[in-house]
Amino acid sequence: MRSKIRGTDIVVSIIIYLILIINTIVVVYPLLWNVFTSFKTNTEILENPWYLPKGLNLINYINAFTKAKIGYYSVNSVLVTVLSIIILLFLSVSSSYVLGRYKFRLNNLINNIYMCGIFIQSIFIVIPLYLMMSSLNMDDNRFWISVVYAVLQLPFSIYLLTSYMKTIPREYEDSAMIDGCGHLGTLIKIIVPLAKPGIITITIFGFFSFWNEFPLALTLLSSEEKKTLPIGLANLMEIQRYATDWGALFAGLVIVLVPTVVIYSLTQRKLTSGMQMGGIKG
Amino acid sequence: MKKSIRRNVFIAFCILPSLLLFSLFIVYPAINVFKTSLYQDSGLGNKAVFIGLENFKTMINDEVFYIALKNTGFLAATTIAPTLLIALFFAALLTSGKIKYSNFFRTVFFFPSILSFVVISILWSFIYHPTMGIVDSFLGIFGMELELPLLGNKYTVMWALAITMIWQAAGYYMVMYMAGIDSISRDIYEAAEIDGASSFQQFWRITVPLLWGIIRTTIIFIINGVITNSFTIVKVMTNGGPDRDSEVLLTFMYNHAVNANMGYAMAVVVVVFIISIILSVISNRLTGEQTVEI
Amino acid sequence: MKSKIIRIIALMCMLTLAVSLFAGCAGKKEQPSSEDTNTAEDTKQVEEQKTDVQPEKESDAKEFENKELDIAIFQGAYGREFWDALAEKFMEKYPGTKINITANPKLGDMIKPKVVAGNLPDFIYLNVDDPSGVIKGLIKDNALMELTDVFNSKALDKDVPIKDLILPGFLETVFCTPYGDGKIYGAPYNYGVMGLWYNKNYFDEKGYKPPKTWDEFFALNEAAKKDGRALFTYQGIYPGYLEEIMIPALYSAGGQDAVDAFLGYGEGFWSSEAAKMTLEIFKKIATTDNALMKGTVALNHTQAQTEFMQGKAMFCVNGSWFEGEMKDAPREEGFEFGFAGVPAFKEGDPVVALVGIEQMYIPAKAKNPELAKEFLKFVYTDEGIRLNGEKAKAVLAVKGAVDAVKDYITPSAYNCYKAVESGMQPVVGSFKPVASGSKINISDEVYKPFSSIMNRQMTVEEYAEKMEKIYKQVREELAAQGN
Repeated sequence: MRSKIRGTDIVVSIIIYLILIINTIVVVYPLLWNVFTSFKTNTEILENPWYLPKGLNLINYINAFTKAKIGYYSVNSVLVTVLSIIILLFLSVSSSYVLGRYKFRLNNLINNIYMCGIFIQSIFIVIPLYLMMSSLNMDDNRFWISVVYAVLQLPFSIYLLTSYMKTIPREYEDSAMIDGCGHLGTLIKIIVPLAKPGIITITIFGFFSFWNEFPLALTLLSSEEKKTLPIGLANLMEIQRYATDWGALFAGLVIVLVPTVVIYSLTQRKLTSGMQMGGIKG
Repeated sequence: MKKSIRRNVFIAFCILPSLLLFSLFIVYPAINVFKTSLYQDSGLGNKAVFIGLENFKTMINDEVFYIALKNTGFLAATTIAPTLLIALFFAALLTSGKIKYSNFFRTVFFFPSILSFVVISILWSFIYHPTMGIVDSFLGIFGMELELPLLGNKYTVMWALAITMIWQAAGYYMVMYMAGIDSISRDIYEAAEIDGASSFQQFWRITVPLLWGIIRTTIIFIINGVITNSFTIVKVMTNGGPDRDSEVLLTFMYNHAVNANMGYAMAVVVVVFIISIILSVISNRLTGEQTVEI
Repeated sequence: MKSKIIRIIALMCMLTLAVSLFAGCAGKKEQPSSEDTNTAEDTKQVEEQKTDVQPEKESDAKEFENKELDIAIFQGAYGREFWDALAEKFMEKYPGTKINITANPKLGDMIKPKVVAGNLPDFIYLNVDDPSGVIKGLIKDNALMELTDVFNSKALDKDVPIKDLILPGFLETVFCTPYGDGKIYGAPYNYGVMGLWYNKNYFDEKGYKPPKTWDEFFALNEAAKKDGRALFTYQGIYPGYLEEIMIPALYSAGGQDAVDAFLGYGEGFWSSEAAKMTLEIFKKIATTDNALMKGTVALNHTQAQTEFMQGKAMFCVNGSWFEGEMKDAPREEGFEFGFAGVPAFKEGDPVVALVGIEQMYIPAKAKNPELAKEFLKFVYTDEGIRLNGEKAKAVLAVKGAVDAVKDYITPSAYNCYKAVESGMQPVVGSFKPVASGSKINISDEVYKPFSSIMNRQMTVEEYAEKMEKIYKQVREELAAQGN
């Protein structure tokens, strides 16, 4: 640190903080606006958008829960998200370990196949996927949609985790093998704990993508009692569309936001440090 | 021998479940996309007729396809560079160690990227709303009355969509870059500081080159992101309007899929897929060879 | 309401981002029922009726060998209650019969796999424009049962053929006779009336008269300006709503011939006098100061409609469902729905209104066509009309239905229906299907450019020229398929 503080430095840091604060406002204000609006009555919503709500008008939230059964959908969302994460971890940890640390003939080929998989977005294949699944009676099923979620997240997760696995020093395994751990034992007892930051990273990425997923859920889940939150939100929009209940729509948006915010604030340190340790070092 | 058998069994045990599920749920439908693109198929159970490359020929003469292609290109051109530059700028700033509350800023800036696109699109369509929204009303404070609504004017609609996409993505890439910068040894910066390099010089001479690997990866990510995410944003915010002025490739595809032109829609998917691969390869070539670990 | 359904379904889809053909959503159109989020895929088995049915009813009921009927119901804005109640009554009257009802907001997607597998329900209520394309597909594949005999047969509770009960002209529309050969395949269900709406209370207070001609319409612009409101608004990002002006205006300008040429891709239509006169209206709305409400082009339909109800615009296009659709929306004080239809060009000509019809079908492969036909006839009984009003809050396309259900529908809807019965000229129309496999979505092609016209980024002359080319292409494609 320099001891002398020059005038230009002060100006520069003022400008820098100004930029940071402006960007903070740009990011946060729309979200705050959403929260405020969710407490407004429909008449208030149509007034000046900058006004704060006149009171804590909870009717919008009540509508969101009663008319659109948001509570119902939340349970499904949690179920599908948790199931998808479990499947994803099982598949990606085993695959990445072998792909990252074993030399065998098809290794490169399989790696390349998964690399290509990163380019296949769910939206490209959703129609044939639906056709196939309905012919196998897999559609409208929370277990199978979790499998699909996990598999679609697989290429990216394997990509991250494989390069993370490569950074773990060989010695750990060698000594484990000498100690008589089998391949599986080594993976579970030695590698998984060492790869924890990488595993946490893919879990968190998985969470956000599963929690927010929309197009597949809409296509693959048709029963009301199986739908997830984003679909519930769409239902709210549908009601908004016809009953012009903007308040309930904003309330619904907030209801979807809250768990995301909570999970994010709980995990953001792990998330960002996970990204740091993970395979995106290039 | 026994050892190597056990090793192979273990490899198979680890690889096969993923590979099988991947083949069933991704490869097989993807192959079907390619197959269907060669048929005239209404998708209604009527008999599909093999027509070879006819769908692709139609596309070449389809005016709307070009509008969609142009708009997708516009979004790529206007969002990729600004997103990455903004991300890089804030990443460098927040990791410089000279910013107080950098953790707070990082948390806040990252936030939009974890939101559902549906949420973002609804939110921003209200933000741009000519009477309920905050943008028009904000510009009004400065006496800038907009004659046409931002999302209803062909000269502003794509910019409005691009801004939404930058807003969504910048924080995500910022955090990626911050992770990368943190792993660059501080010694290098200190040495540069002693040599009298300015912050700006440090940024271009140290940060950017050492981050190059990550930057290359993020370019591929963002190309894919723009192509796919534009679907949700356009569908919710403008429905491709006004007229056809914000149609993008995947909304164009979608409209044909629901209009009993499944074969044609799948042909569009094939084109989009090829474009995204080509772009990724080109950007990979342009940014130089990647050094492979191990 | 046919194309209304397309649009609404289309917009649902945009908003819900349905990503596949199979994700076409519940297109609610008329009075919205907020509780239709329940019952998704429930096939409700209505209990077999008890045996204690009055003997005199039993005596006039025919006997059917197969007593089981599967009916598939699109559960949109009208809900399923009508069908539940009707099935109940039907089973009471025909003892021993059993009706299984499948009701779903995504009915088309649900029955599609069954259609592909050839396992069809006996009776379908689903509109031809359902985004699943199921009905379109059935029409293309000649897989619907001809219903002409049903309409020639006597009504169940009256001594006249059913076709005489149906509102005049409805059976001749493309909704009911899809092949244009006079053979009926689609049975008309509910109908709706569309045109311009205004705030009746505001008009009465100020002493304005709803316009009977376009000159009067534009003359009101001065008054509107004085009162601080725009003359007109429409459902901006869904410009398809403008058909509610387009078709009636064409009718007023060139009669049924002009409408037919427009909907049937007539050669030279876009340079015809009727087309020019109609486009001139849009040009005037786009270019006259204060005529179009600011921001209209970017608004969705509820937003535009709310602005209208808040007094930002004097007129807005919409249909008889308007009041029910907007029942929770905020409005200016004293707001009262008034239906003005669509003005005529010439003084003394009748005001015109667009009419849309929903349809019911029986598939050719129905397992129990006889009972399905009987059930269809049952829909057209007085009981059916009344139940439909009570449970679905809708009006069957049958003479006198409006008055029979007056107590169940909104006053504005009643007035709107009555207007058509008393002097306002109804006009029915829907685009002739384009060639199968065509890449042209004609409704998009025709209506989407109106955003550009309204933004003054395209002139109506450029538009007409563009349309002429598209019509030519449609004709060529149809000709290539031998149509």
